[in-house]
Formats: sequence, structure tokens, C-alpha cells
Amino acid sequence: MKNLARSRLANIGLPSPKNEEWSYFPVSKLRSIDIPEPIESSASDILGIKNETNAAALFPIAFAAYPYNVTINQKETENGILKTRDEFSHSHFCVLENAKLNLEITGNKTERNFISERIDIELKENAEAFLFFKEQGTNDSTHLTHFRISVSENAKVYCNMLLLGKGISRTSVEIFLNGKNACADYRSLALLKEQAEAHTHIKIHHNAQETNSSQFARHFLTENSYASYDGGVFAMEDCSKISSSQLVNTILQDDAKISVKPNLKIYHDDVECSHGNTCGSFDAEELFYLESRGIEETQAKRILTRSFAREIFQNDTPHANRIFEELSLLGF
Amino acid sequence: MLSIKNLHAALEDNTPILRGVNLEVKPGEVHAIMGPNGAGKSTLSKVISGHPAYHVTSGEVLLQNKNILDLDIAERANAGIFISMQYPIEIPGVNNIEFLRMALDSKRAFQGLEKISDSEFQKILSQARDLLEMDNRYLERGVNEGFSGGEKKRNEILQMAILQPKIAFLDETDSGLDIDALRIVSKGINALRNAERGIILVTHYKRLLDYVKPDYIHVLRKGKIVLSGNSELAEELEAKGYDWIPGDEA
Repeated sequence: MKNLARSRLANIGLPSPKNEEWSYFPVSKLRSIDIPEPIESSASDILGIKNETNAAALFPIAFAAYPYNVTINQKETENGILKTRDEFSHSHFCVLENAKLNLEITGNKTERNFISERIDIELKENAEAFLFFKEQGTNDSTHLTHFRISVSENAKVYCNMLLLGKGISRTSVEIFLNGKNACADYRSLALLKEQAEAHTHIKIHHNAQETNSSQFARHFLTENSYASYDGGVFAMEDCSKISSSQLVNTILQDDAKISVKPNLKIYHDDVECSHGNTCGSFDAEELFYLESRGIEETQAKRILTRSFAREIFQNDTPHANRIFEELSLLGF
Repeated sequence: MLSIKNLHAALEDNTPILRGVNLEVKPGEVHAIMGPNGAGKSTLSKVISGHPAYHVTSGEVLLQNKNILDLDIAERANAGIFISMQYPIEIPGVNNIEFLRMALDSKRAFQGLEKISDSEFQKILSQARDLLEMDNRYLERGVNEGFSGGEKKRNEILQMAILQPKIAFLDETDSGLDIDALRIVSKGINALRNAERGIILVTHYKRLLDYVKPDYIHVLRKGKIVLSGNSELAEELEAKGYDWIPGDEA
């Protein structure tokens, strides 16, 4: 597997601004990575390495010391916290039929300036995975995180992402909805300041009929921070009755910037795919309403920011308390 | 109590809307302002509350002899001005009860009082809720979130009941209400009518004035009050419309 990844990396090269997948990302901030000469490998390509175009998906496999593998047996529930913050790390979770995974993925106490991490999750029939990913860098850090999630028939994955901090992060999520009624629910909130950057790349492949996906992303950007959101949905041929939605809301302050790119490729007529994007400052009428009830402007903005941040996450997921606890600590 | 003197106001692009409004509201009085569409009725309420889309070009608005035009929006509210919006907006994610409590605490802070206790707030909330016949489930949602038009208007009067303003400016509170909702909202307004409070009703229709009897009725046309009278004026306006009233020279 390692050699397959190295071979593929040698083939596609390191990220450059000319590569559309990295067009928003400041590739000059990536530390230099030497790709050793690959050795011929006969390993089976179960992770789609031979066709991988995202270097961030290959680094962890090519350079991690060894992968961390977990299997959750049928009908079992596994609650875990993953703190795989070596420079390169690769984790693989296989959730068997009717099993459930509740996983919090967060930083380790030992902060590294450069991290490239990959998390593979394989959901068998009727399995469920609830993920809570918290990205929190420091001033000089560059973090790359790649998720590859395959979802079988009647299985569901719920991703709750919290992108915080001051450094540069790139989170790529590739989800394959491979069986009827497979479902992906992706929610992310980026709260950035002090020239932080958070780049998100989503690719959801609807490879079976009657599959559902939704993406709901919000950004609250201040102090010259920058975010990008590249949201891809692929509705494949012979896959009817697909439902997909994508909504991105952004509040910008203090010369902050956002780039949003919906990327929908629809190869079937009988599908419902929507996307929307809003960007601006606080809603003037909402502010006025709160102030007209005696709440002064600063507090009114705080209230609206808090609701903007909290509204995105659902109350009934296993990580709801943790998410709202984190938001409270941040003043939201 | 509230004294509006020769008030002129314009939009941001300097389009004049109010062209010299004069109105005197004494404690305990209920005034109704009627007038054709586009006369400036809603603008008057927004200008008084400090809406940023308008600016005052001349005149003054005195609340208990203090010019409130120097105050920001929240200060005006805390000083005792309450505006019931014609179209109350929804603010998803801001819990109704928390919002009401924050508003009340803001007013109390302005008055130099401590934050309200849980028990006292629950008592006030419960009384207001009963007055407006509102179910708890509405209060536990976001502000006006998923409310019907009538529920939003009831929620506005509920806020008035909690904040106990000196002057309440109720902008088309009767619009969009069915008969039962109109009765409940009117009951709420009448319950909040007292010798210390002034109420200004903006309405297009006499039906609200059948429930809430005003002391005075004014006709606002082209940005100024062109006619004032007692409650009988509503009957005349209902029968004859506004065309017979002079005042087009503005």
C-alpha cells in the first residue's frame, strides 16, 4: 500500500497552484516532501490509490509508519477519541453490518507544525458513523486531513466539523454512497481569525440509486482570515432518485475573504440536486430588531453570531454536547 | 410625554418621507394614525425607533422632555420606546425566552437595576403568555421562528407586556389577523393600556379601533398629519376614504 501511494505520488507530483484541487491553498506553506523511489507493489488497491488525484490523500499512506486499523463488529457500538497527530498518520475503521461508530477526532497535546492525516471509514450495510472532527491549529501550523468514507446500503454517515484556530488547514472529504438508501450528512463550521486559513474540499459520489447527501457549511471569518469551500457532488449514470443539497453561509468581517465553488456533475435526469451560497455581514433587520428591544449593538452581534454558529449542528447527535461545549468555550 | 415636533426624515438617498410631522401624546392616551399606503406611517415608527435606513433632516422627538434622536436604537428602547413591527422578522437560533430575558435585563441595566431573578422572570413571562394566550412551545422556539402571521403579532404584544414601555408604537398590529387573533391581540393592548403609558396605533382599518378605542385619530398623508379628530373620524374615513381630505400640496 505504501509503495502504491509513493508510486502514485511520483506520478501526480506534489501539489502546485496549477492543480485545480489546490488552487485556493497556499502550497508554498507546505513543507518540502521528498518522495522516495517506489518499489513495485502487488498490494490490492482497496483504497483507490491508483486513481487518487489528491496528494493529501496519499501522503499519510506513503509516509505513515503503520496504519491504525479498527473493526467494529456487527451490532456493536464503539465510542472513541482519535488523536493521531504524528506528522503522518493513517487510520482505518471498518464498521460492520448494523454497527455504530461514534468518533471524535481531535488534536494531540503535542502540536506539530505540519500534519498530514488520513482517516478511512468503511460502513457496511445498515451501519452508522457519527464523526466530530475538530481542527485547531496554531499560528504557524499547516494541517492536511483527508477522509475517505464508503457507505453501503442503508448505512449513514454524519460528519460534524469544527474548523478553528489560527493556522492553515486543508480538510478533504470524499464520500462514496455505494448502496441504495446510503446517506451522508455533512455539517461544518469555520470560526477563523488572525489570518488563519481553512480550505475544504468535498466530493460526494452518488454511486447508487435513492442515495441522499446534504452539505451545510458556515463560516464566520474575521481579522483577515480566509476560507475556501469546494463542494463536489457527482450523481452517476443509472442512479435515479438521488437527493443532494449544498448550502454555504458566510459572515465576513475585517477584510476576511471566502471562495466558494459548487461543483455538481449530474449524469442522470431523475435527481434533485440543489446548491446555494450566501455571503455578507450581519443581517441589518435582525440587528435592528434586537436593538429595538434594548439590546445594544455589540451584544446583538454576539447573539446573532452565536445563533449562526449553533444553528448548524443538530441537538440529537451523539456529539451535540461536546460540540456545544466547545462553542461555549469559544464564546459562541 | 411624547412630543414629535416638525419631524422631517429621509431615506439614505435623501428621498424625503416625513415632511413635518407634529404629534403630542400624553400619558394614558391612545392615538390612532391612519392614512393611505405610502403616507409614511411605518416610516414614522422606524424613525422614532432609530432605524438606520432613515435619517432625520430636521425636527425633534421628545420623550419626557428629552430628545431621543441623540440616542442609539437600544437606548431609545430602554428609555421607553417600543415598536411593534408590521412584519416581525424571524431570527432562527435565538431562543425566544432567552431573547426576552436579555431584553428585559438590558432595560433593567439601563435603569440601574440588577438582572431579574429566575422566579420573577417566570412570573412576568407567565402573566404575559396567559394574556396573549400563547403556548409555551412558541416561546421555546427561535424568535418568531415558524410562527404564523398572527402568532408573530401576538409575540410582539407579549414583548410589549414584558418590557412595559412608556410609549408603544404599534405598526399595523391588526394586519393578517383572523377574528380570534384580533380579539386576543386587542385584549392584550387594552390590558396594557394605563394612565402612565401612551399608545400609538397605526392601522388601515377601523376594525382594530372597534376593539381598542382611541382618544384621537390622525390622518397621515404625504409625510405629515393633515387631519386630526376623535374616534368618530374613523367612521368617516371608512365611509369616504382619504381623497376628500386636503393636504396634497405637500
